[in-house]
Amino acid sequence: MRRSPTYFGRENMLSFSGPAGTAFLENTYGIHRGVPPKDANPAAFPGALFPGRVRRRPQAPVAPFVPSKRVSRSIPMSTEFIFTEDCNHRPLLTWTEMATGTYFEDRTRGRNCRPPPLRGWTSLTTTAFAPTTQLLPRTTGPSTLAPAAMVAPSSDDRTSVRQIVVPISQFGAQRHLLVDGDVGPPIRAAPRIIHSQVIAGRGDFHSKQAEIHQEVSFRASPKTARTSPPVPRCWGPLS
Amino acid sequence: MGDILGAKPTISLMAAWWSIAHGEAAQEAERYHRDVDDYRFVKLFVYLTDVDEQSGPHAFVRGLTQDRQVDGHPETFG
Repeated sequence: MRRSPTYFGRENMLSFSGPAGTAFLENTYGIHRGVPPKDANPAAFPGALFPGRVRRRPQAPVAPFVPSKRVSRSIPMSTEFIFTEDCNHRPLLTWTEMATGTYFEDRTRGRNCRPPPLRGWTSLTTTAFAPTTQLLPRTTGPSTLAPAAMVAPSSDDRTSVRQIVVPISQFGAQRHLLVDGDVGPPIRAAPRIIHSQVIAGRGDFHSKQAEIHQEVSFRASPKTARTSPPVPRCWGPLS
Repeated sequence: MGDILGAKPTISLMAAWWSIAHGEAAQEAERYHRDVDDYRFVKLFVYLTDVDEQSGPHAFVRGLTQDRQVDGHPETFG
């Protein structure tokens, strides 16, 4: 069978183009996809390891940054993502520590989950927990969905503690990430657990000048990685 | 947004992705698919770079938010 988008009818195909900053809301329960880009690939793109910075990233924030008037108690203090063994981009479980307690989301049962008991998340500017350090899938082939902001550990630096500046231009601020622990090259030992925690901040937390120091832990070794996460309840404070 | 979802909206996931040209067949989210994140959800997309037809735009099929007939089509997954 020939795979063709005409199966859905050309008159129904919508494509969203626009300059940086273009934004749209979408019910992605509807059929959609990211069209494979046809532009020439960066010639030196190394497959799974970034050379320290992301190519072609925007040079300036693409949208104005609107500071929040107050810091909500609902700002998560830390988030932990549990990935599948093949470390794809969908975490199985997400722990979120907040002032009101610790919550988790079981993403394997997503449709059956009740709404989370979280309140006060009113805008993008109040979410300090954005998972800005994502991992590439464990593959040596071309990666089609590379994170725009990610930590790039060197292939032979498995245990050192380093500070890496990751451009988070969509928030108008830079985050300094402290990378700690057994990092390892993503190809040979894809981490399964990421733990990130805001450990210090300088300046106005919600301003363009803010510096946020986050501690990020990677556990890549089979001896230290959690092989099977505990079976959680669906949404609720941990006891 | 609250009217659409029928509840006070909360942010459940934020992520940044970069599409890289690879010259091979569509993979993963490059194939037509649905997201099943929750009972009801809406996603906000923000382009961080200029996007045209050559640089991997987001594509959406109008009118299929309820039609399950298409889910077995080989162009879709998930």
